[in-house]
Amino acid sequence: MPDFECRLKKYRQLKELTQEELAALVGVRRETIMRLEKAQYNPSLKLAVDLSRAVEAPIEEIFIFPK
Amino acid sequence: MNKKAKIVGMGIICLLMVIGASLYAVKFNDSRLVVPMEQPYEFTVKDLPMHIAVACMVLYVFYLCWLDCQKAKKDAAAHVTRRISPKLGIMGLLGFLGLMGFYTYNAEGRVAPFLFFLFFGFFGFFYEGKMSNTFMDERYVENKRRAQRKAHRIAQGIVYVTLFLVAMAEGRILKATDTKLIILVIAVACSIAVDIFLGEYLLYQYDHEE
Repeated sequence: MPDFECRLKKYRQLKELTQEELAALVGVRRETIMRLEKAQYNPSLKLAVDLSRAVEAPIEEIFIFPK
Repeated sequence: MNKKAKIVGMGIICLLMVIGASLYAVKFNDSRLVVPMEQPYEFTVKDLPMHIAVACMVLYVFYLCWLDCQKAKKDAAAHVTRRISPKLGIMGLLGFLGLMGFYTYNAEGRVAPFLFFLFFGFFGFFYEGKMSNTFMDERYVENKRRAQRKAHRIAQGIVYVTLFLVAMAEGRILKATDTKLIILVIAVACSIAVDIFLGEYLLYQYDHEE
């Protein structure tokens, strides 16, 4: 299980996007967004960048890894 | 008429042609090409209906394979999994035909029917069907690799353990070469079945795990 905090849900809701809409924007399934929001899936760098662009928030504020 | 009905219709026509040609051969052609022939084959005009019917059936099967390839290509281009029904998982029951091997070995010394055990792998269609027409994003691809890696490892394990046990038991418990052959054929068939089934089952589990 990936060990990080994910604030994707917060930024997605700020942009008023549904999971389905965000999934379509970054080219993944809704289930993947769901797992990401629960911090159950560690995305590739490309997906992380795509998500960051889609919700207009820096990667390090969406995915928070403990030091 | 839609495309599916046309394809099924073509299949029924081909089947009826084979049945018709068989009936014709039994009634008017001394059952040639229906029952095994003892003399070397020589063409006669009366064999023509059977040749045409079989050729049509073969062409129909090739056409079905071609259609399936086209569909698979289309799905791959769209990055979605192939569309199959979970009901196809019932084909896994064909694996029980492997038990025929015990009869054929005793009656005729044939071990080939043991290979039917690999059909147990078709139970995997049940899980593949559940993941049918799914968009293959990076998480899906990652899970698929993970599932296949584990399935390969378990299947290889079955073969290695069987080989080890057969080698260790040689001369003590297992004396007849036939018995060793049967055990190895069953182990290889079962390991392939496990590989096919687990690849789909684990993928489904990984995809749905919380």
